Amino acid sequence: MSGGLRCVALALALGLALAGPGAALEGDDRTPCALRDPQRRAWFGDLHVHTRHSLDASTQGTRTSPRDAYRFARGEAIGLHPFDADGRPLRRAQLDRPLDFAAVTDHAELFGEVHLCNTPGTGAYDSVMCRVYRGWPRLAFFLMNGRGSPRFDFCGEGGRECVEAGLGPWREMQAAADEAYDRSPACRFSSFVGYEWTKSVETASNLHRNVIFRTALVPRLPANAIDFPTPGDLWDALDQDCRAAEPGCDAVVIPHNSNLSGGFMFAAEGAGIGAPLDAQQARRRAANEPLVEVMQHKGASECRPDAGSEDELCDFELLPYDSFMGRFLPFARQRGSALNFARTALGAGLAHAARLGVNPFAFGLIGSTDTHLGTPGLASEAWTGGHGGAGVPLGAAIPDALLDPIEYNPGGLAVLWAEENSRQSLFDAMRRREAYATSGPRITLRFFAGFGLAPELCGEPGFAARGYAGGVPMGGDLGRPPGGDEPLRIAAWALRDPGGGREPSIPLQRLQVIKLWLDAAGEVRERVVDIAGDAANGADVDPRSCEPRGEGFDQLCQVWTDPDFDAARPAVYYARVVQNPTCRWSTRACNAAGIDCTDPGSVRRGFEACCDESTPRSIQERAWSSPIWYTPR
Amino acid sequence: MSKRGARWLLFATALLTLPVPFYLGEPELAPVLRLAFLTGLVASVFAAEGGGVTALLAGLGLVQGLAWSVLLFAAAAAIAQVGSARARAAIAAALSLALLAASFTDRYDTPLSSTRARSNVLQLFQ
Repeated sequence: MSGGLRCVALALALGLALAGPGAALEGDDRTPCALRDPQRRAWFGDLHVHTRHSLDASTQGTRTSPRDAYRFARGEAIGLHPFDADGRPLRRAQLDRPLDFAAVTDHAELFGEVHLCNTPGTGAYDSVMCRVYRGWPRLAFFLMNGRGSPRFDFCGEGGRECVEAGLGPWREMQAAADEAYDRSPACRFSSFVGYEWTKSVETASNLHRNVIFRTALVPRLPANAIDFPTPGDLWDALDQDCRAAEPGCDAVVIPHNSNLSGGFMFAAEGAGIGAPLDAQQARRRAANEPLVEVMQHKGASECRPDAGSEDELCDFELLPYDSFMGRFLPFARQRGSALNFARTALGAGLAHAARLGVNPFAFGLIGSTDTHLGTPGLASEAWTGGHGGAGVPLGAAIPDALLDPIEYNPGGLAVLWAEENSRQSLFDAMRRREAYATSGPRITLRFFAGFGLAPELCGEPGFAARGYAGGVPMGGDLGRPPGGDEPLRIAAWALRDPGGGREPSIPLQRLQVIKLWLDAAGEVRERVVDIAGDAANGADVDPRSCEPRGEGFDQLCQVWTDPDFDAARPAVYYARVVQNPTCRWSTRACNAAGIDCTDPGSVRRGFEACCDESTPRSIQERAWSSPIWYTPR
Repeated sequence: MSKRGARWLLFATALLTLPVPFYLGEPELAPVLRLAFLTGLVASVFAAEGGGVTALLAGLGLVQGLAWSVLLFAAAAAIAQVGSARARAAIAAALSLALLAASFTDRYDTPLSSTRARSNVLQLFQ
């Protein structure tokens, strides 16, 4: 940091300290947005972003600051590691299309430790652990991440020095979000203050959750998993330090990577997840966790073909292991529990609701990147530079190799249906689950269900207005039909990503509805229906040139009447729309490196995975709506 | 060359240059001396800070280091048994030179390194 910048940062930190917790950033007063659409618009963003304040990002060489990350989200180019001897970045990245919103969500656990180890003059800086951190960061990643409680001795009595040192990065994150928030009537960009609560249990099974705050009113310190080790502790902390402490303070908690949770993310009981699932716990969970991140850099968490589903499209960006242990210990890999997947949890939620009277897993779906480069929204398959989640340091030069494990992917996006691009409007969308996930493309997806939806909705103007009037949008709840026997109709409408910059516009292939319901025996049943498009349209992609081939659809719209709807049985519906096939990022990277799997001589070290038969060459990018629940009541 | 001399020459060269697989959070393919160095770093953190994972990694490094040392010593001793003193000297020198020469290429997988995922012998301890 230059001297001038350091002075500004110090002045800002001093000002914040003198003003007291939360005061200097208090409130989100803003001029009204010039654009306010009562039928709501789809806003594209990323709610899972790591910068240099996260241990695993800093130990791989990431120097991107929260401010840099927001600059990137707004469309500016930023430099990425590795850096040359003069500190110049050897890579640059820039979004083809800026995002509408973003949240930097650094790991809350080791803010202070990372800060102290990087700050000369502190007592901790010269500790053995900090020396190893700076000299052998990859080794330090394992030693520091595996530490848990109690904190390191270099943190002083009771870990106080590290806890207090964590204030610096936390205030920097708040200030960066504050500066990036467009309060002008143009409302071009919304930033959220957030962090990641990073708890793992047993075999490094992931219970990680992002916390996103409604406004700049946030607790003095984030609730980390060292001091608040269960999800219930996290919810308690948010109640106590946010909702009860500051009128106007609110937050949503968004679990992610249930695919790496060893079956714990949606378990009713088990070591490390806190109190067993009773009605009170279920209510608290549903209230705190309205969304789940179903798609990101470390795989998709929607469903798995052999986990109680015959849905062939579940075979999409699945990891070959079910916890972080499998990532680092190949012999410990296992397919794991069906409860690693959102669809299984949505079905289980129906069963829990029948038993407890409240559905703990009534969550909507979003995607995000989980970038560890500080590059929100960089979810294009054309980006082959990896995201480095818990990655290997690149060192002094960009290695001639795949820059991520081949099972990873560029991540997805979160989409929120909101009246305007402001924090409050977007946060309200999160709360009511009017949100959806994409695997990267900017597909537009609307989804309504109701007993008053007209069958001809697709052919007439006012799809959204009539959808809201005759039903509920994605994330909504339906009760019994008012007349007792009206048919339940689902209206779904998808528009292809228009493309932009270097990002192509790929046609849509088909639009589906996934229905889960409880049968008379209380068992969860599943049905996947193609409601529009053509699964056999013959479209594919040339794996050498990555040129897509075949026809598809610019838009798909259908009103589907559930022929098996039983007003006595609870059910949940969501939509999924898939594009025609395109090249996976790994195919692009391998092609660019000249790898030809029929010519063993071309397969250099670092590119061996290119010829792994288990990795698909192409993918069908997609979007998933949040569900709509039907509850007979 | 004496058997003892050949044995120690081969053993020392192998410790410094022969890539062996080991695991310290990441799998590496590198000489035992690097494993010993990394284990020393982990052990020093354990001495200063304690910690279950740190102890586990230090123990893992120690066990692997001892196992590879015993194996390499046995292999060096076996090779040192063969032939006359002249043949032994030729074999020991040739093997050692071959290992040393190869060690200057980027033949080691070193993902735990902060500077490079593949290293030569000069970069093993950077």
